[in-house]
Amino acid sequence: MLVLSFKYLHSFFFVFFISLMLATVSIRAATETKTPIKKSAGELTSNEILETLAYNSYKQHILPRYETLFFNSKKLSSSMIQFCETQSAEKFELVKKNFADTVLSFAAIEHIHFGPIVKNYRLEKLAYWPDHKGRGLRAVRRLLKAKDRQALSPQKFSEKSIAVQGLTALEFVLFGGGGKKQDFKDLFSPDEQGRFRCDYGIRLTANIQQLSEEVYNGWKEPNATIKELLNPSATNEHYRNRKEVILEFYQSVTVEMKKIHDLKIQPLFGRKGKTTKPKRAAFWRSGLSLQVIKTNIEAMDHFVRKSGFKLLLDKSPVDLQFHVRKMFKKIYASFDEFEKKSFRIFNVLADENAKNQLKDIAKTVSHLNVGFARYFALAADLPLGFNASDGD
Amino acid sequence: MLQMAINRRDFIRSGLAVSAGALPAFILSPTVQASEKTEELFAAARRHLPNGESASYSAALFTSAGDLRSVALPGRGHDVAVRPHGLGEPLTQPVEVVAFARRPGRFAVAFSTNSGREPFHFFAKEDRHFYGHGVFSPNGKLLFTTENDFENGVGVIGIRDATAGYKQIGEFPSFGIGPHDMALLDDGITLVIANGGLETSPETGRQILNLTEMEPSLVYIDCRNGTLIEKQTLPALLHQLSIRHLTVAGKNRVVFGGQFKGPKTNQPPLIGFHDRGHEIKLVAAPKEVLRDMKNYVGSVTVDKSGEIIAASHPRGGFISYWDAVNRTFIGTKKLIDGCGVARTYSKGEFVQTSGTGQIEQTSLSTQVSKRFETARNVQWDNHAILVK
Repeated sequence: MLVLSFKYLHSFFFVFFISLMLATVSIRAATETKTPIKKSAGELTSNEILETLAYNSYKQHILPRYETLFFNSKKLSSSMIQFCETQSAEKFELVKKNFADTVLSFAAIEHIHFGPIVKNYRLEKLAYWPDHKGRGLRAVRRLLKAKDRQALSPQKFSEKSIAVQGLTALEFVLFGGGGKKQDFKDLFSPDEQGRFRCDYGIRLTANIQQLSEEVYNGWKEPNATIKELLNPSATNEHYRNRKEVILEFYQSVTVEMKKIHDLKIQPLFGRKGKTTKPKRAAFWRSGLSLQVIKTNIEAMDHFVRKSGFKLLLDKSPVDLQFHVRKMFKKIYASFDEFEKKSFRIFNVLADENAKNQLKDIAKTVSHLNVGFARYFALAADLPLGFNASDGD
Repeated sequence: MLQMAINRRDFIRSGLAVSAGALPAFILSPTVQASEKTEELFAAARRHLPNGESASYSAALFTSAGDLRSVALPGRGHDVAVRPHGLGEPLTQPVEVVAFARRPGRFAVAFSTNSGREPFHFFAKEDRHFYGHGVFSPNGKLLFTTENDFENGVGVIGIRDATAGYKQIGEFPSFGIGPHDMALLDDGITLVIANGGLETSPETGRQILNLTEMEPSLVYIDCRNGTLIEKQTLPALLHQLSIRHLTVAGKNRVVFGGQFKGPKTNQPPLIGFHDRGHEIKLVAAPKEVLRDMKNYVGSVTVDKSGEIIAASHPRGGFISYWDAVNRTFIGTKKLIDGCGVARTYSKGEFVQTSGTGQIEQTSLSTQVSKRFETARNVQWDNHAILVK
């Protein structure tokens, strides 16, 4: 059904881009006042088109979300220190809440793979996932077992494997192996092992805060990433022309959609689809897997609506937005049902109906992505050829 | 027949950023003209543009006049290997080729220029998948394929008997992770393997799992017994330069094209040269060209003379040419989404295929490029090969 919907979108997407070329907005004014000023058709220059996409994405999506991540990571860091000082159940609950907030605020901007987040492996450091064969987890276990306090100095810690530096490592510290429910008093026992675990947690949360702050500041800096995005040129280190910038934004949607389908949902059904593998989900130990996937998808939805791409939907002579909204709504309806039943990923995969709903979510995500890849990029004349976009 | 010859001025304008003075002398020597040549036959995998819900795939044998034969593939293909005539078999007998699944596919399809013969399907073992490349022994009896042992996260070389229904008869380690392209040196014994160094998810076969621990390598093994002869790795700073595709130039100089998986801000050289017993030499294209490559080489092929290399850059939309003797950059030619490059029977000449469906034959000697007649609504995949 969904694919059928997209079958008719080809011409609509094409018109989007024509519409964009004729769109009637004033870019800087729009981003500053959030009220687009109308311009007559043809008055919009190529630079203004680029600025629409870049500024809208930056002001309404990227910057606020990195700010939220930084804000939540600060709370997490501070609550971890408080917990280690008091060892109280109340403070531990606060740590868990702040952990969830931080993970979800990361999931809300996880799809951006350019700018400060890709420098110095910040993205991988923040969340080392997927952890194939549990290599990352083994590194975390080794670090805990060694109880080497020198390894927790900021300098030494930054030189450690990226797998031990971020949210996935912190999840293990806070929730344990996940085989059976572990009380925090067992994990953070009053002995040397427990104290080291706490100190490692403090170092981890401080590191997560620092990484988040670096990324946020990198985006805030007016002469850095945003300047590069707005001024593509032969001498620009990353973007030679406007098309490369638009491509960057476009791929931040399509690559993430593919990741959600290929890595976050599909592997949960095993290679042949006969068995279920809930432990392949991201953040299954903390029970956040479904929320992470939902947040990832919501982030795509928000990005399309709030960035310049939304303009294309608005300007279309047909109600294209209706089709895209319909798909997103269908996905949200399934997640709502999971939430109503308080389902976590284990429950979903154990329940035949819920399992099929999750498979449907994956299909819908895939259909949305096929639609974008097939029509949007083609119409925009983006260099996303058969080989260029998915070569080997 | 659609034949869109372009003159020298147009050719240069179209992007061959090289002056005649910069061309190696052997390129400027007289070459066999297209009209005098016997018809060359090529093979490549391709996708048919969706005419409904899903795409379909095929492998084709084609000449400049269009398809000679098209064989349906169960999924997306990648490269094609040509089976040499067996000892004692007449050269007039039909040529067999094998099209391989793109990773992480498990199928391979053998078919012949004789359309009366049904295509023959064979598969990788259950706990293996192909990486899309293979090479035959010189007598055409054995087929070697690059494969992934995904349970153990190591690369292997599968060995099959082409004279016995491609039955698997053995396996060697590739001495690295993610073996991709491979070739035989002219001794017919030494296999050179490009271990990309990338470990990928067994579910999708494409998601990279070991970005920070990559160790690409160029490995030489004795194909008679799998003995490791030589292994070359890249300097630590370039450990994210995945050695992916290769070709064997004259005097067994191996030329490879890499794909850099590190930060986009880094733009290392992507073309490497290696002579047995020596260190790998990476050669950078001019800064602007290197930047336009977008850290990606799709395929590399040596010409008939063994002295000119064509490397494709679909992300930049051009083909680059290299002097394999002097290890120097020659120039570029635009080709949107161009990826497959096959040699022809002429010096400095290549057939280049594109994801847009276009096929062009480009001669560096005459600086003329002509288009092939080609099936409509197809997208040519990564590689193309001269069959005969």
